[in-house]
Amino acid sequence: MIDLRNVTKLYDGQQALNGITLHIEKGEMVFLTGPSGSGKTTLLRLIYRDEIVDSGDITVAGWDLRTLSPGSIPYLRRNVGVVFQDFKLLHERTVRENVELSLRIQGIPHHESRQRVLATLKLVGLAHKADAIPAKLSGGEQQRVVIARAVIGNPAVLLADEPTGNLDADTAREIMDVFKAVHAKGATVCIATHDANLYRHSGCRVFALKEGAIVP
Amino acid sequence: MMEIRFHINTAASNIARNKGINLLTIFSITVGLFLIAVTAITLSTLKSAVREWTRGFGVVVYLKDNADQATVKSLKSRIEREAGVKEARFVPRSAAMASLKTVLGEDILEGLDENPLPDSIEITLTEDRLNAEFVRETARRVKTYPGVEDVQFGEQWVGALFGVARHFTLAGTAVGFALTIGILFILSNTIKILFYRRTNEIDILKLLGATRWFIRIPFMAEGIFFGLSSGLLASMLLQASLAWMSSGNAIPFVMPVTPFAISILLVLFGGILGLAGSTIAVGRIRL
Repeated sequence: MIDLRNVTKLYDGQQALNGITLHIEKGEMVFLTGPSGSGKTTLLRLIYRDEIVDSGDITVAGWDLRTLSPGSIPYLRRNVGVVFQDFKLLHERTVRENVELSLRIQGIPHHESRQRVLATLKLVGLAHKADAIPAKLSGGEQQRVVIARAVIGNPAVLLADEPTGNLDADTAREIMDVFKAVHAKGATVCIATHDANLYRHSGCRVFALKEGAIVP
Repeated sequence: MMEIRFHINTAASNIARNKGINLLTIFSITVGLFLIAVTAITLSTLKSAVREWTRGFGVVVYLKDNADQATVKSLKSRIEREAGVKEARFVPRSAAMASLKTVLGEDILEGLDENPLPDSIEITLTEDRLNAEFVRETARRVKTYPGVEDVQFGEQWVGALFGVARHFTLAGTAVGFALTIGILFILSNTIKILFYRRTNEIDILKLLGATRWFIRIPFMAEGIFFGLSSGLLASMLLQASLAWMSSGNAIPFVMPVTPFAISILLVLFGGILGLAGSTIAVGRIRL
């Protein structure tokens, strides 16, 4: 589902990623780990084509990202749900509208999306906050809105960048339960985290990054 | 259909969020559209006045003294066959003298032993041919016909009148064009400013898989809203101005179309400019 071959990425001449090669199977759940600045976020951004590789090849859900035309990027991104570290919520819109946005972008009409939004908000435990605006929510609740928005379109791939970074242990566990539920439905899930508690007993493969390279 | 409603809702909430800049834009476009309408009405009034002033204008063909009746008859029918001739009327010298006496008074012409005036044919041209070039050309041609001594027409007067009218038309068209460009410029820049204010939101939409058109359509809807609402305000302003002016001893304005039609045209023109301005703006922004 996700295939990286000898991927290198430079920022201002500094190597952010250096010869990364990894393969994630369809329906697999994996963790990317490593200290801050090790290249986890850069790797995820390459996968949803927010960045372009300097060398190497990336294939995601059958899309060759090296040759992907600008007009095709939106269609790739509809297949890749992303839980952003900085949330990226629209603060003038309600929780419901933020979550629904993913479906509206895909052209799913309001009457059809309404039920899906409620079901997804229930999944993340936020149905009672549907009409609140994000600024009125706690960090954990905002995180769950982002997860709801990322999974509502049933993406083939779900990427999460430090999804439990600012959360207490109980909330982090609840968030992980949501990821497991999405994974159980067949999505390929890739979670970038430096929290060893998340993956220690998960039984999932863990890719450890250090200074832009995968270390054993 | 549902998508259109979504984009319109997005545009409406964006409009509500930026009241200051939106009101300023609508005010500027309203003034521009109002001035375009005033220019069109002024030109229409001017054209109508010129048409009115030249309605009775004609060409006078003076006949040779020795022209016999057959020549006069043939000449008259030949003139009547000329393009643009509405009427050709034979005026005998006696009738011309009588007319002159009416104008100048009997006393002035008392000393004349004989009538010095020639027979003549007065030509009235159709309104659509009342321009200096055509009148001059017709006069030149008629002068070559047998039995014609001279042809007179108010060449300078007609030339000056039509010249002034032409210059006003050109100036009015230039003003209208400049105002249209100005409105497009305002619209396009406002949409660009609104776009850059929402860069963060647009970045998020792109990351969620929004296409360029999904992002652009609400901005185009905003442009159309600016145009339509400005058109509506301009037409209200125009109707109020016309009503106010017609209540006093005002200039009798000649509307190019009915007042209702001019209101509809203003709203439609505003809408078209709104679409054009926003299309220019979103087309230039890299997404």
